[in-house]
Amino acid sequence: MSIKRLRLLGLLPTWVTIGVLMIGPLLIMAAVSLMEANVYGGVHLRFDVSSYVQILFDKNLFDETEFNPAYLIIILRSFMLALGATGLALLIGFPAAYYIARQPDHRKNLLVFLITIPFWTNLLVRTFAWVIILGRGGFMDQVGSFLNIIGPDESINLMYTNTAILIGLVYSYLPLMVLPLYASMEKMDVRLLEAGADLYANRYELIRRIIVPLTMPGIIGGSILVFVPCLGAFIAPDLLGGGKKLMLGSLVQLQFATSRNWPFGAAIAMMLLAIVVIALMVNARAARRHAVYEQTGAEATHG
Amino acid sequence: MRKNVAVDIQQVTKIYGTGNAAVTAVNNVTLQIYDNEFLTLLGPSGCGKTTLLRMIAGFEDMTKGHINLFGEEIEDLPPNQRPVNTVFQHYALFPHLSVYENVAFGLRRLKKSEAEIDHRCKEVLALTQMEALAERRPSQMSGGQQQRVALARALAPNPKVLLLDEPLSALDLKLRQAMRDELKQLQQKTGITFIFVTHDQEEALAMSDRIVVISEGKVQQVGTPQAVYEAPSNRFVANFIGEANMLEASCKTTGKNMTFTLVGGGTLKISTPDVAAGDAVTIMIRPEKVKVLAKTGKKTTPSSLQMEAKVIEQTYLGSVTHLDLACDGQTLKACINQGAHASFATGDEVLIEIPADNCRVLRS
Repeated sequence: MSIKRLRLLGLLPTWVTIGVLMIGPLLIMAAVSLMEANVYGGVHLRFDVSSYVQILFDKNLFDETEFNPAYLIIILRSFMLALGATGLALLIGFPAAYYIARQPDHRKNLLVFLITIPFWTNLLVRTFAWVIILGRGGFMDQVGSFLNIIGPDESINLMYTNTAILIGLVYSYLPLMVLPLYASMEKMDVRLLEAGADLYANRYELIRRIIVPLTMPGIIGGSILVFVPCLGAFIAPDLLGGGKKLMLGSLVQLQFATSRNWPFGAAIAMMLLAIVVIALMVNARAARRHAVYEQTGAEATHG
Repeated sequence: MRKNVAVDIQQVTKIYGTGNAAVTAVNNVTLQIYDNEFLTLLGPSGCGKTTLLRMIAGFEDMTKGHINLFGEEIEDLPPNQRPVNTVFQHYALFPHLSVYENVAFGLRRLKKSEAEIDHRCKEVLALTQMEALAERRPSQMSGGQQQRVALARALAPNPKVLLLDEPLSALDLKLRQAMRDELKQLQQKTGITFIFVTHDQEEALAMSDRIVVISEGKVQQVGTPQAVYEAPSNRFVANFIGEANMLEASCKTTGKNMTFTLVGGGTLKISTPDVAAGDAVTIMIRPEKVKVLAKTGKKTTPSSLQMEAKVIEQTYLGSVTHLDLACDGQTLKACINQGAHASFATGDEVLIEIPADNCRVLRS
């Protein structure tokens, strides 16, 4: 067998993984989204774009097509919550990652290990812990009554609000923000901060002019890693939003599991995918712009 | 002429760690650095010279002592509020900024006007001959060019004192020698006080107005390059700067001209003020001051000691030849100019002459 053939054979697992496990299901979903729904689940094999129309329009009693903002509101809510969760995760994750990166080696490894510990437990279980924390008579209420913000039998009433969903989302995906941030902060040459301070930069200017630009790849990477799953999240909105504040992820899950409208669920999933792809393209463009920094960072160490 | 003190270092001590693990990096250093001076802190690695520099810059706290800058206390100021700038050993250029923006960084932080920034940047880039590469990124430049940018960046805010932390150590020999002259010229042109840290004695001798020799956190000697080379104050300085022959001796008579008897016999009359009769001392003589004569040669100077010796090794170095000589059970180094003397071969019996005037008496 020639080397060339061997090489192709070696790539087989890759092609199987990408082809069968990724592209295949995606094509099936794309096909399903363009078919007619079967009310008992599954689809009729007939071409139909009504699922996509349904995202924005509805038929009224007189069988006229009219604008229906219900799903648009869910899309906007998902977008805002995902954006908010990404921003909050960045706000919390940035100093955390910086702190970890500045520790001595052995403590660094321990802290990174601690960051990954939540992944060992099921997300459902962890989110349910927040139900207990935020729920009536829960930890938050106890703290509130201890501080005399609320009366002894009152509740802060955080459950089933957008705030609760936001807390859940930030909690779930914070490690995905911290890890890439840590990776790029660890690579950053601390001596540059000394040089910055020597050149009259105060703390804020050091962050704004040196740390942020040099850790941009980590900021973009972490933001994508948080934003994308937040957009499709359904556990946090279900448990903490009480299933009333739907997000795109919960909507898809609802269509497949409860409403038995597979094509509509698939159409929403496709739209979600489109949003994610656009976000990734923005990321790729920003990453290209910052490729120069990466390169120089590597060279500075042996210069 | 009374000189203005730029940096006044008063009894500064720096101790790292506590208890048994405590390491004294800088030990009770008192030093005045004058305005418009090229001062070099010279010492082996780990001697505390960089720590001292970093305390002036504000990157390290002092354990004890005071540092004043032009009469003002600066020890409580963070680095960004001290009117000094640093050229770092590994340049520490900002990789995400162009050369121009690197140089402008300090000026922008000082909130200078755009016109002023532009004028000053162009000025220092011209001074360091980097104006052609202003739009490049640091990664697109050689080590020597990065070095110049680091220099331009530190000079741009017009600091009162420029601190240079072994800035030439990462360059190759040729470039290092060229940069030496350039740094010296730059110091004279700008009139800024330069405090230069190095472990390279040749660099220190070539550039400095004064050299501060530091060892184990303590100042060993402060003086002009001539002073530290020709009149080292102790064995460490004598050995660290240049090569030295050390002859153990004891002091015989007191008076202006004292007689020293070498351990191997032989006497030298040297006038030196600060030893008393009976003191055990070391007599230091530089290899190039040792005269080597053929066995049949005659004494050239009256006040010198003549000894028999044998050439055990010779190293030809072009303009000079280094000789290792066995004499009275110890090895002496001599350095002779080419053509000035007849050449010697290994194994030759020779006469060496140690002129008293070129000897330096060091306390053991």
